[in-house]
Amino acid sequence: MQKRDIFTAVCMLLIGGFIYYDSLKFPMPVEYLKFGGGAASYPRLLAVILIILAVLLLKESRALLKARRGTEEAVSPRVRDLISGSLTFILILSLAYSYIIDFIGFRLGTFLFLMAAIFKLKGAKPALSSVLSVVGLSAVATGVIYALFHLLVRVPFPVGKIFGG
Amino acid sequence: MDFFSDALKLYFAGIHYFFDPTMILLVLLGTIVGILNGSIPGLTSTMGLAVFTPLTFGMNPAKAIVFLIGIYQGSVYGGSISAIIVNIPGTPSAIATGLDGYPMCQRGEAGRAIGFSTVASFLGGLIGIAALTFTAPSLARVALGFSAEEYVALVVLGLSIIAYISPGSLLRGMIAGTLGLVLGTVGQDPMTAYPRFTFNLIGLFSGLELIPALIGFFGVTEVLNQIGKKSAIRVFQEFKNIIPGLGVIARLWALILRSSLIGVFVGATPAAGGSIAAMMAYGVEKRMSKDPEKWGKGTLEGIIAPESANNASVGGAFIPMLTLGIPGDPMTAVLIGALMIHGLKTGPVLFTAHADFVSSIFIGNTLSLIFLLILGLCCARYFAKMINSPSYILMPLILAFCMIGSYAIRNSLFDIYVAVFCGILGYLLNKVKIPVAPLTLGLVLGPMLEENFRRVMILSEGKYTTLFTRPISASILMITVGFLFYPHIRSWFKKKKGGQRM
Repeated sequence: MQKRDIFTAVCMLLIGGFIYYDSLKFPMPVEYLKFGGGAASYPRLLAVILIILAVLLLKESRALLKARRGTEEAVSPRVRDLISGSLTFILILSLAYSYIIDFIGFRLGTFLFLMAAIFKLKGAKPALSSVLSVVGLSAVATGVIYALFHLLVRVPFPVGKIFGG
Repeated sequence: MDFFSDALKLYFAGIHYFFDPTMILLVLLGTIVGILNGSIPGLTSTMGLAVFTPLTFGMNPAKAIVFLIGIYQGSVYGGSISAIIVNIPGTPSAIATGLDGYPMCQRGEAGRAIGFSTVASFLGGLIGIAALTFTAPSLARVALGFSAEEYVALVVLGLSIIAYISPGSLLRGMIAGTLGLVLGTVGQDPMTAYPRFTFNLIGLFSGLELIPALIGFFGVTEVLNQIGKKSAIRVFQEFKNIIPGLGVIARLWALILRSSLIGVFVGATPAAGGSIAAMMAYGVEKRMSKDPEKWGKGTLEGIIAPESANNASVGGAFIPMLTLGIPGDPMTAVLIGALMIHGLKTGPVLFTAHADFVSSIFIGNTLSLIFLLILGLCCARYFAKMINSPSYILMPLILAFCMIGSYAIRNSLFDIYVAVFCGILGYLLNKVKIPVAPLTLGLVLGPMLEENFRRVMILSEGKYTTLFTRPISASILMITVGFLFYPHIRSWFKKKKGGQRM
């Protein structure tokens, strides 16, 4: 647990450091706005606060880690405990979906996304009835979403470049 | 008398909206969606609001808000159904309901428990709306005189909520809040329009789009959390005797009134929502009860107290949101975001410029409670069936809704990336025990803080003391200090008292 906190604190230090470093490139304020500070002053202040908080977390975690060294609580969970197979699959699928619907269009993209996600989470057996029920469900769900957003709310969905959109 | 007639005049100012039957249908639909959403464990009220907000883009603002109000009221109530029948609160505000609801269910009284929870939610909700109707206009009149100094003080007060919504560790809550403020700086600088942290991505020039970010933090994160869990929840129950006896309700009217007032007060305090209101009402009523030993073993009072409080807190939460423009909890943060999409900014001006719209919020809430009562008493058994819906169907559907909803805001594929990115960030933060709610608070309030603070500095030529010399901003800042130190003062007094007894 505390090792995880140390990792978190280091990440926050890096984020704070990046914000501070990047804000150095921002321009100085013009004369009539000088009392309000420039584009850099507020993010820079936040970066300093984040770094201070990260140092406090680091200090707290190190103290706890020292006190509990060798006990069960000091053991940090592994990365594979954080990201399971299904989760990784769904994450990749979501990113792929947002990338691919521009090419294959909303209807086919959503249908394929739902079908793949349901198959993976269901752990479906290759029985024909199971495959048909997942395919049917995905088709109906795509239709309902299409009706709600496109026909009812008039959201223009991408037709897909391969379909001439 | 003027006070009452003004309040009633405001309440009915937007009645003409409801001559359109689609308004009533939207409240009904929102309430159904809300109850279903709330009754399914893992789907919180905030998530429901965030996921369904994009569906309202094609509607006019009044239709949009009444639909979302239905979801809000419905999901706060719906959480009690799963708390009673499977002992898993559908929403955090139903945690206290399960303490006595589930033991009643185990005795075969699930129907009775749901019936009383429905009536208590209805009555508590009505008291919340009455409080909103009568207090909001006066508060808005005061707030009309606010300038940049007061807004800075208000945002600081809003950010102090972090101290209360950070479970376990204040330090982690502050880290999350600061991260939210950092995310709020993405996009063009409000004064000079210089692009900050945009990585040359055009989609980020106007800032991190609020609704896709909130959909990501609440919707996508929750789906990922559910997928990450190994076990699914499937419990089957039968229940009957849903309609409660009026005699019992009449006997418990004082308890309902007290709990509802606690709910209104906690809801209106920019610190907590239904969950704290419900726990507080449960605690107070248990302490006042003649038979405290019966609590936790399936007593009706243990269901009625938290359920009246959590629905009363909805009306309470609207008070700071509508009058001051600050979100009291994550749900109202989403509602503020939704109204921004429709070109409406919450705050005191809303009461003068769009009185009929404010009225539609009051009437929408009342109608939603009426539908909640009817639906709860007639269809609770069907909603309960939803609890057993397999998660392998629900989760992909919700994820698809999240992504398509994010796209629908600006018809931009980039916003899907924003939602997915925020979802992954929220999931990872959850895993390292950094709470997401303070982050979203920082994200909503951050731009407001920066803009108003810099305006104060420019107008006062760098004299920040102006924040402490103006009476209203100084008072708000003093309240904030009191708010932050109250738990410490209370524990100090408790310690001192304990020491004296020793």
